[in-house]
Amino acid sequence: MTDPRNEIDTWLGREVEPLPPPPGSFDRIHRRARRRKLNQALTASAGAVIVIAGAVLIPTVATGVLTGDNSSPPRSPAAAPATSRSTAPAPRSTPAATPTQHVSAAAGGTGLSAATSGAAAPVNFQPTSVTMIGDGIGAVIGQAGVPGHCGPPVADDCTSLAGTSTYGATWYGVSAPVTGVPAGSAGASQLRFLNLFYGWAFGPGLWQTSDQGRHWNAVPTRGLRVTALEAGGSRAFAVLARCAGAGRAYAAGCSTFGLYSAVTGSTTLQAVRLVIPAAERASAMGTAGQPGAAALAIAGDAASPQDGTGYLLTPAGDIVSGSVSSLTWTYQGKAPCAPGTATGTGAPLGAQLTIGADGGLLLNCATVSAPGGGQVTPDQATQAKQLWRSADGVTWTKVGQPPSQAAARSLAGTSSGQVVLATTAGIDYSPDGASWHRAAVSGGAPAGGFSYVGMTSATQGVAVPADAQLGEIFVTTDGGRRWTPSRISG
Amino acid sequence: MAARLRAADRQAAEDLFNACYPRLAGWVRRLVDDDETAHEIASEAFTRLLARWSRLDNPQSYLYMIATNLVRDHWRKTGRERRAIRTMTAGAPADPAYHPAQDVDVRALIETLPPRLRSAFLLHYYAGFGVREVAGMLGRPEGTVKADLYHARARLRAALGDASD
Repeated sequence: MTDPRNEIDTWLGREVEPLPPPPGSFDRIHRRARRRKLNQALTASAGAVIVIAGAVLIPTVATGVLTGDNSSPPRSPAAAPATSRSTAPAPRSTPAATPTQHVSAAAGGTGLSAATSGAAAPVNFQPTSVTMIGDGIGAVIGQAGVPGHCGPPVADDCTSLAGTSTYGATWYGVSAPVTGVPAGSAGASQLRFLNLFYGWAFGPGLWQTSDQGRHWNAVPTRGLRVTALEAGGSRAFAVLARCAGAGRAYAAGCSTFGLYSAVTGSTTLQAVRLVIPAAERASAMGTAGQPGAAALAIAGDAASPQDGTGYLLTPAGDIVSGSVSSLTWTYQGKAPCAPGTATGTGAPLGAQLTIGADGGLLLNCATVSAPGGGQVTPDQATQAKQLWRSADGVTWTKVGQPPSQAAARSLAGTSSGQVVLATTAGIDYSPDGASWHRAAVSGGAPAGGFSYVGMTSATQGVAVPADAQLGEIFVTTDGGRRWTPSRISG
Repeated sequence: MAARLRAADRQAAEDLFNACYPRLAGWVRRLVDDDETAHEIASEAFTRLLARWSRLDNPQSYLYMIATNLVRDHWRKTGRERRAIRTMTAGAPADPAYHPAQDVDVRALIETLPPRLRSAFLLHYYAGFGVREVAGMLGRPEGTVKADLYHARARLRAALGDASD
């Protein structure tokens, strides 16, 4: 006789296999919904007199969600006090110059929008991360306002979000998780949105939103810190690690790593099974007491989002990949270099991984040992670099040598083949990965250079300065040749 | 301006559809074991979502709630059909392809759970929502949802034990 417990667990543990929609499904559904909406509107206006006369009866029908009515929406977190008050952080307002600009939790917060939320961007905004989702829509996270005067509900928690629907030309306020500046294992400094609805704030903690950022829910990480996160299909994939770093350098001294995933809308992280050959397995995800880093990249498929592929560069320099619909990823081979140690926010110093043309991988290998074998410093003046390309993470081809000036921090590619590299001195640009030029930065590159660069399309991209106190990000609209500042606070 | 907002709404709806439909339809297929019915249920859930687009805080929760209810309706309907067929074929010879072991089917047992336990079970264990989110979706306290999940598993284990004895 089989053990009933095993049978249930096996059944529950089976991954849901996505079922793609038949061609034209969205258009059919959209038309059907519009017809239904129109009918509802006509019925509502025709029945207005009856609604008034039957005011006692109508609410019984309208609250059908509790009685199994298919067509009633679930209660929003704000409408379920027993849930939102007990353990979930309440939606916070965006820190602002005056109390009148705050948005109350009861109002449901302000969300990311295809136009604007109507709320002003918080004052003194110091961005640490940016995410763009297309059509000019994106958001930044950082610290804003003045500690002690933020909130409610917590006056010292000044983590804030701002959104844009104009690719950085204008910014508006968006609700943020109730947390402070990164300090050891607490706080948030990084941001990713999958689309207009689903997003994650992380580093070192983790929060998710399912409603455009209006409400944020904490995702338990059991003391581990989130050092990287990317989203694809209907999932987020996150690298979690045991780290010793303190203060804002929360991802320094991370030694053992794991890959986890959460379905959109969920606050439950599931471990991703990494199938790695026995010979590589022991140290693939780091060694206790030995600082390391890991990098994550997801190759999306606009036509079929569930067919995207995720790639993990392990601390040992292995490439492990899998479908964005799967919780099992498999070993592909050794990358040309290992990530080495990390910046305080988890970006590997020795290798920058990203997705390039045709969904292939691009990897910048950067020397992390100073001449003479000394300890490398984050602001080293020169650094040998090599750019590699791979279609699958199995075989790699060297394609170029980015300029040796400054230390590499972040790499981005476009579907048209351009490559940009953020460094501690500025941004380097290549039309093909082989020939490199210093990109023009309006007003000169900021001191300390850039911590992140990302390309949204063949022409548009964003970069985050290493010094958040500048209060701006940089934007390109010509594929990365020229960058101009975009100030968050008005 | 209104036209631009309508276009943005449609794009946002399409983004959500692309991001959520395959997993929702796959989730439904595991419960109905038939691609066509899975597409029908997922499409109907999306139609209802889009018909009330501007009034929802958490569209994914709404989709899964609707789909759960539609699956329940499908089970009811097919259960009636199965009973009707059994009545009509009561005197016919047994199906040679039938194996008693097929009765030990977790999904069939979930169909027999009381609706209160079944919704929480499907949303938590199957759709991947956390206890807190399921509590919000069903309008029940977290402790009640935890108890419902415990009782659902206990019933399933007991039923599986009986079926395989």
